[in-house]
Amino acid sequence: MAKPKLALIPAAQGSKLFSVLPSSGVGDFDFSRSGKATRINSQGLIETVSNGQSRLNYPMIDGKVVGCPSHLLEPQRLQLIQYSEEFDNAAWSKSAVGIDTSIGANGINPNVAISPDGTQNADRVNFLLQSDLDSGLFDIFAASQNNSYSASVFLKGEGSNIGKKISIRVKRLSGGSFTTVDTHYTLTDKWVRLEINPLTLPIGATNGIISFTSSEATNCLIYGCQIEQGSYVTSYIPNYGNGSGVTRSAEVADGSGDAATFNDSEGVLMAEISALVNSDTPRAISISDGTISNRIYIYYSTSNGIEAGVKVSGTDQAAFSSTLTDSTLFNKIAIKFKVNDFSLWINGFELGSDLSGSIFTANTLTELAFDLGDGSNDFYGNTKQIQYHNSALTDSELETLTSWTSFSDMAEGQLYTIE
Amino acid sequence: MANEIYNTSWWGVALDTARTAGTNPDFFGSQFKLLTSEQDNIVVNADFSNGNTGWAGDDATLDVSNNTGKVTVNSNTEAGIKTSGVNSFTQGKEYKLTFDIVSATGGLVSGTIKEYSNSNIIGSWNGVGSYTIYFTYRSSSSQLRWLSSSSVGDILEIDNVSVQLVRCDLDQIEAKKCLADWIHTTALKDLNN
Repeated sequence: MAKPKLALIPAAQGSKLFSVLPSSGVGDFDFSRSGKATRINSQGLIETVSNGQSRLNYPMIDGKVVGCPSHLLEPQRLQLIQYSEEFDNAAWSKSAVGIDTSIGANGINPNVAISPDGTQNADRVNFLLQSDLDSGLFDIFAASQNNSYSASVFLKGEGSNIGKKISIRVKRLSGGSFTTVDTHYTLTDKWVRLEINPLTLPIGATNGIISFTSSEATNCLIYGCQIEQGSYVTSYIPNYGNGSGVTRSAEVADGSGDAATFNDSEGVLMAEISALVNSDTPRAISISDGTISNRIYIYYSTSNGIEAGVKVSGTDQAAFSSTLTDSTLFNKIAIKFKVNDFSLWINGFELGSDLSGSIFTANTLTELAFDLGDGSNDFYGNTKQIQYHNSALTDSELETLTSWTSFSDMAEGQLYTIE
Repeated sequence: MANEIYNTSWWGVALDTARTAGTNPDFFGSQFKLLTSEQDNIVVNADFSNGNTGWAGDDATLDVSNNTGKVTVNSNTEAGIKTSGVNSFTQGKEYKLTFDIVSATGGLVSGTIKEYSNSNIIGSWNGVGSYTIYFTYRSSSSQLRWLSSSSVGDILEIDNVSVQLVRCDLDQIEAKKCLADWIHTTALKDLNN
């Protein structure tokens, strides 16, 4: 199989997403994000990445890094918890019904263990065993009706409390109908980021509250509590006391390639990607002329859907739809384009073909971007590779390109452990 | 395991030392070309070894007889030395500029480096020494000018000018094994073609 003309293989962080091909650097993606963000680094620790720097995020299974990193691109989110790591702060209320306030600082032992960021800043919360989910360690966050809020927190058990459950309740604070998301989590001896199903505030409701209690465990380690408006959890945003919350800005990556890079007559766009959530607004990758009228595109849609196609002068020449088993797992997706010869390949299988359609005039395509062409519908997800081939590959080559190279490669890509 | 030959430390050393592999931008060399240091110098005749090719005086007379770019100001105005229309800057791209000020007198002891347009200042110098400046090229002029308000007879002498597209520093490439594995896997597929 011919080598790609352009290849993005996540290996470096910086002010761009660096494409290994072409070697001239013309394939590098411009990258922007205003402000800091966090990632999982190669040691499996949470690490802050500075303003404008792209993120390599490493996959983890059972607390250990497994395999190669991916580029992480995320939407803007606001961390609503004011003290996300300081549970002894007065901003966190401690009910004497569910918290043993005789221990430590009003029931909290601050900075007693190594946290997921690798420093000794994890707190221990000491429970009084009881079943009232509202009477524990709790914090109120700003929230409004009809919006969804996703919660996450890092938890770890110690000693005899491993294997015992703690309860996390996220509910509306006041107004509207009683609405709550209750989660009962069994502690392990490893740090686990518990992602809680989103809470949607009912009409008339104001603000939200998150509380931690237990009827089984006398204590647990806790770190990095996050509430963000949105239907799914994103990377951790620390907040050390900002009452207005802390914003991680949306990330944009575009501007890869130029008119000389792309063959307007034929080619293949391939992406090995995973989504942050199974269902959301379109999240696209495309080669285009900077508009939505001329583009080769792949995008996630709703309900694990994937859409791909070719649009020339605003008219669909090929448009494929398919459903992935799970769009949050890595999938290898390729679209081939050539006059009267278009096809969609996913994970080694041809899932659509169209033998009728025209193609672009010379020097139309100018840019590969993590959007739909005009800067809209930014891609949010994980990227393990992007390849662009400047010729239409054969079916055999497309099968190879979109297949796993080995069993371990497939297992790693799907975050399975081989024993 | 075959992959162990590409362990991180080995590949890190290779990236750091085997620079000659990057001089040929082939498929394997492309990984070395990720480094800013391995990018081509887009300044023509950067060491003034080829006469005045690619250079000109700006309200000044250019002398390259010592394999440096030495200008002597011939008008009481903003003057200095400039590249001459054969470089290939791309608008919006970030570059790393390095140069030496070998000697300077009068108004040219200090000054600014600009794109052709006066509004696009990319950096400055002040005295003899070596300078490194990172800048984003904003115009379409493909030209750099070292300028300062000067008097007739003032001298500026520069040498070893380099402009490279900014890509990675070595310590930014942290997933070296992953990159090497992909290069070799893809190359093997190509060999089997």
